[in-house]
Amino acid sequence: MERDKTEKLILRARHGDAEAFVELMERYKQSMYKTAKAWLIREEDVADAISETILDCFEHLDTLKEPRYFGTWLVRILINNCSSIRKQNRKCGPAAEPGLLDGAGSFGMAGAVSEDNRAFLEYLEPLNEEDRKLMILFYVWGFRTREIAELLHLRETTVKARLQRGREKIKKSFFPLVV
Amino acid sequence: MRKEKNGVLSRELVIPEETQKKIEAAYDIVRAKSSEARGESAGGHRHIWKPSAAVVLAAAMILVCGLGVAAAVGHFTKQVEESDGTASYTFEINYELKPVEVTAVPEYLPEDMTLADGDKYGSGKDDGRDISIWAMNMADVDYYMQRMDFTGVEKVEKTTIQGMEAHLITYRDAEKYRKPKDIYMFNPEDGYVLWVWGDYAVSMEELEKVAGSLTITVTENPDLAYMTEEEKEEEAQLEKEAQEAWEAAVNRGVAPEDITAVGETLEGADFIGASYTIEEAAIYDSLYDVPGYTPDGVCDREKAAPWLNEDGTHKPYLRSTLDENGQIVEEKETGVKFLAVTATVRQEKAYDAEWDNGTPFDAVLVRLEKNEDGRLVQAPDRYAAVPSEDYELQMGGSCFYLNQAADTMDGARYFWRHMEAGDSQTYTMVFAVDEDLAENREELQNLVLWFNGTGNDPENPRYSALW
Repeated sequence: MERDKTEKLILRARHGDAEAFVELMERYKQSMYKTAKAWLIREEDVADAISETILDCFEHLDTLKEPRYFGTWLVRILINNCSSIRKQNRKCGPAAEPGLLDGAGSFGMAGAVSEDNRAFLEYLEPLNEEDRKLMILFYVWGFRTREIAELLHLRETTVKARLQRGREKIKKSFFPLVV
Repeated sequence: MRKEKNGVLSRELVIPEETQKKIEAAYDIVRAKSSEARGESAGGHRHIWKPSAAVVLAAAMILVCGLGVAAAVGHFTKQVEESDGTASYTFEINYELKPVEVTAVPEYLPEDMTLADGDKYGSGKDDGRDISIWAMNMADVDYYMQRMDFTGVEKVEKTTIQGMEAHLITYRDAEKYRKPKDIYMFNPEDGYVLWVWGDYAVSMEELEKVAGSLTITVTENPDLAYMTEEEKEEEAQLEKEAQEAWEAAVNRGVAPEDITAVGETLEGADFIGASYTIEEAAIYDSLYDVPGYTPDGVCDREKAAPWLNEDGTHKPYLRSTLDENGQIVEEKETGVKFLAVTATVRQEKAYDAEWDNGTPFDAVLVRLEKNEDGRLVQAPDRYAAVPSEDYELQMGGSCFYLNQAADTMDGARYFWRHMEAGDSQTYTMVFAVDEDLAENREELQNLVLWFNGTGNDPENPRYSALW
């Protein structure tokens, strides 16, 4: 049912229905936000990545021939945009790349970070960047390990093992006394 | 697609106001573009750069600096060695030249094929007609393809496509084993290799047409660079560790006492909230002898019908025996019997709010063996149906029959049902089992069920005994 609605929105958006496109983006906004947050940390970069992705999707929506693969298509564009921003930041030096929890207060969230946002960031904090990406793609987007492998040009066994490693690290971080 | 549950990651985050403003600004641009551009053709333009100057530069550098990349006009050279049934390719990369990005889009596709996902094209049906196109830049060639080995090769036909050297690779016994076809197109001058892959039902003639129709675009990307040796070693080490960790996790196995016995109840995954109890299991020669048999219980009658005799017994199929490397050592006709398992599923609680997929009734039939620690792990696959048999009743260890009323769920989830908290159902699933396994008492004892409602976590599998 949900898939049918998404496909209908895509079809309407292709026919120039801007509101259908906006509704489509709104459906994926949380997933996009979590993904960009895992990749980029700084709020202004996250905002840029998402807004660029929205515009890229709108401009290239007619190249998506199979609406049922919209999710993978969208996240591929988002990942590319996040990577571009990361590369630009690297040129600015280490100061441009804060730690995961440092970025929370940098943009429009002065003072209190919402509890769920902090929990989200703390949850991912023990992970290295690569494992963080996999956790997001697996748990937030619901992609299969094979799809993640194709998205990130990894072997499927690597994806599975890193997910397992990620889960272990999180467990150890939150429950250090559990053997 | 089944959603995995992870509480923290699935919670809704608060999107800060400034971020939301940027998103809204993007929406406003979309609205403006949509109203002004309605009716205009969607144009994009590619920035095309053909760096033929790079060839001149590379040649000059070789002559002046004596780089020792003998006869290396361009980004790479390759060596090809062919012997009986094998072909090996080795690439030598000219690292003095910068890699460039490359894309390849087909202007021709066989009838009723559309873009499936990324670079994959297909009809959307499981008909063996998929085509994939991978445009590899030099960084890709360097990392993934410095050496390629092909076995079971029937022929490597060398030709020219779009002015490039092209190798058309076909394989032995292609029809019987449903082998694909490969076309590689080599462009050392501009620095890329194109790989056009066609599944078994695509003719080489059609694949050549697709390859010949490719619009190839080469663009500069200042950020594209070869991985350093240190980076490659680090990546290889990471992969090795990841593989070892995965194997350790999967090979840990389960203790025999952790397998749920017949008559005992196994709690499924929390987000589904169902429990499963195996009541009994029995082997039958004829599907029609399974108590409560109904033709409506067969999941895919088109797939099952060719394999059933009039009396409901199973016709034999051609089965390959595989060695530890997955190579075929024997093929023989094999008889099949039916394993009927009666189970009860109970919906212990309502679904989590975000779970709308229902309750899976089915399970995977798994053969276990003891590892050196006395724990039980999944035994490796020893057999496979010869592909041309189109025999799928045992695919993935799934059952092919469930004696319940038609699916109430949306979509093709035949073995899933919607259950309310407190509901329970007793039902029968049927699996096809090779005759030699069914008649071997010791082998039968090693069979267990892995209910899909447990979440099927390969690192922590929870099995149910059949006997």
